[in-house]
Amino acid sequence: MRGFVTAALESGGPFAVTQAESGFHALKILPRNRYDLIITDINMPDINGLELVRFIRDSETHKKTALVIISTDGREADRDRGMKLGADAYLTKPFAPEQLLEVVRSLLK
Amino acid sequence: MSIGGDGPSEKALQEFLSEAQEIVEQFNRDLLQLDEQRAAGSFDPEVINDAFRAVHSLKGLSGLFGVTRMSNLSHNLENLLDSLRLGRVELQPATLDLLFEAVALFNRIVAETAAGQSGDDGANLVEDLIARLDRVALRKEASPEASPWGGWELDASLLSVLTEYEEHRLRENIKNGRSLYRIHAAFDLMTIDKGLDELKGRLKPVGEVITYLPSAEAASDQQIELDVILGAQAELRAVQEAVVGTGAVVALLPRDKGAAGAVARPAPTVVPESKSEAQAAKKAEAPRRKSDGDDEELTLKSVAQTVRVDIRKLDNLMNIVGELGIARAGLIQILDRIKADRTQAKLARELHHELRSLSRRLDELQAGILEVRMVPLGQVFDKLSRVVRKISRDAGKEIRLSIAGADTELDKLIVEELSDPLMHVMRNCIDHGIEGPEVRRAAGKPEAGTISIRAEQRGNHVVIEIEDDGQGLDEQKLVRKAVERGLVGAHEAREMSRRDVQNLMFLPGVSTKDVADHMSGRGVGMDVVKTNIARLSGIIDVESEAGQGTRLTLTLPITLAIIQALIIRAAGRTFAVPLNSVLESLRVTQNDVRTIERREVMSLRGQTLPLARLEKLFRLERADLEGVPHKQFVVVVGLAQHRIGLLVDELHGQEDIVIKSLGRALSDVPGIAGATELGGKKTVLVLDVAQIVEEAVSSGGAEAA
Repeated sequence: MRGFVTAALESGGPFAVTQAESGFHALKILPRNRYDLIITDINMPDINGLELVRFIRDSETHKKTALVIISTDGREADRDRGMKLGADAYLTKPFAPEQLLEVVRSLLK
Repeated sequence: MSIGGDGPSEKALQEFLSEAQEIVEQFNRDLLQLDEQRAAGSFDPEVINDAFRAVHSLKGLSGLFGVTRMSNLSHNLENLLDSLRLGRVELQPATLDLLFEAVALFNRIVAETAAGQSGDDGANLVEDLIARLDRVALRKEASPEASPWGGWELDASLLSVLTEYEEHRLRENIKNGRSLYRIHAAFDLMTIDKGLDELKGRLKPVGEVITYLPSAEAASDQQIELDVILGAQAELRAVQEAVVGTGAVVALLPRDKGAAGAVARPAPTVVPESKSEAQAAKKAEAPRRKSDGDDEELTLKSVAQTVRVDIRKLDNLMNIVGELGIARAGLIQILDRIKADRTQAKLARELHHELRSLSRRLDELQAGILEVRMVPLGQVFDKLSRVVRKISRDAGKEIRLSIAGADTELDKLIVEELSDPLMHVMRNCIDHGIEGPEVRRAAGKPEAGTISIRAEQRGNHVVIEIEDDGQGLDEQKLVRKAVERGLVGAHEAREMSRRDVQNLMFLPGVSTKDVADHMSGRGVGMDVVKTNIARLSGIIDVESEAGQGTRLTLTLPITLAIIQALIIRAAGRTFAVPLNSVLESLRVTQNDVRTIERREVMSLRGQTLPLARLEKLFRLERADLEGVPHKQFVVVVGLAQHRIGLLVDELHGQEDIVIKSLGRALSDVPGIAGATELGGKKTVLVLDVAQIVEEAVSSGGAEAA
């Protein structure tokens, strides 16, 4: 998924993409960096996407950063929780690169 | 190095198959673990969840590559596993058998896809299995879980970040009469991975980690605090003992008053003992039981496995290939002797034929090993773009980085060694090359500076160009500095070509900034870059136009393991010169050689080229009768920005050589990189062009000896 998202972003515009290989890894790099947009899957081992959303929304540096969550078909409850916690947009797997780019572009405007 | 005849889509498909197979193997291992737990009567929820994840990844992957049969099967399988992990369907032995069947079918699809078969009968098998999976998934639609929290007081902020699955696990733990603990821990960002692994390892034998809750309030760029929610049969004391020494603090989650006794007894039907030590040990071994089914052969066959290899093992293989090459050269000499004997014509023909086929295979073997060592430069470029962002922010300059040719491949060792010099180059571009926004605006340039990196393969070399649109080099300042530091004489400086002047930037201590500011002055001069590139047998060149920018060109050999060499003779001895530092060779007569200030030089396309004689460098006696031939050759070698000509007597053509290090006795001899064997068991010395050039440059001439 991460590779797919990265490839889609890189093919669709001049985006500098940093990948975090897990929720923990994200926790590690988020406080030290600034981003225009963060994309996270909800279903991740250990730190799940919802916890990450709350962490991001509670943090000084990223509380206003555009935030996209990726959920799975049939997991509407998770998706709703994510939006409630402050995500700006969601994508439901499977999605096409164009859908992702559309969401990203509209949020970065 | 060519990738072979296959198109990129073929390569991508191979990678997909290799990844898919790894996932299927992981899935199979999960099932084997569950199979073992079947006897104990309770399944480890984590293993079911792992199996779900594996199939989930497979679905995404196969969908991406349009392998419909695989994505259909994994989609249906995922539904079933999702129901299993959420407790909607109970895991029955028969269900487990179905899952094993799916493994066999996945392997069959992988094998057929790899062989380019559409596999129509396979499609029927997929449909059949999907139908049976559906029946199982539908059989027991459990009633939705709506039980209260069993007397535990769980605050809304905890519940709001749980996924459906985690919530289910929480309920399961409560249902099974386990206690809920909140374990608070703080981690230094630098060591968080180790710290978390340690904590996880300690908690696993005690209970089930339901989730991790990071706390943003307490987060800084130094540390992160998080709460672990743990479900465990154990008493508070036991949990505290488990984490002793990690600095974590354990607390029992609060319970509703009065409800405490309600769930004190574990439900007798379920015995969640799956974490007992005996089982944990068994799990660790995870013996690979062969799965049942008639597709046994297919399930065990590998299609395109990925292997991690220590690079030294590849070096070793390369050495063996090099030695085979020497043996081949020996055989060719024997062939020549046989050819000379007319009576053996038939034998000679046969040997010739066999040797040709041996040569071809050997070349393929060598190319194959070299290709394995190749990695794309993109690995370094990714790092660079991060660094550029950081440096430009620190310097208060806006920089656009454009990268082309990230898929250009180079030897792994070279790519690793390149990252430091390239980083220094970036820093130099941003600190010294690109002007501040005001200056740029005044000069009519866009405020944002641009650095473009282009990499491409040219024959046996990879050329990396780094170009900025900054102010260019201040040539007068470069000369002044170099003279001040005594690196060039004042007279010499006046006669220097522009190119030589610009190349002064690679001399130690020459910086275009008078005062080292907080950015520069960290000891990362361009001389360090030059040394690093030279160590890789690379050449660095600079071109600059005032006000318009600077371009650095790095030329690197594709590989270091085996090199092509030019075999030369000088003063009756044979040497090998690494071809990657040879720029050209030309025929000269003694009349072309002039002596200026006791240095032998010649004029090459209007430029003065210093010359060096190997016999003088190595203090070899020229046999009297031979003398210096009137006609000689000049081999022009370059290292970083320097060029010199080696005067030699004969050129013997190119050969692939493997450099071997010399024994200790000879290792100190300057100008010798090692030895190599040519055909016919002849050992020759390999010149260290870097040292020879350095020597010639620093002593102000090759004839100092």
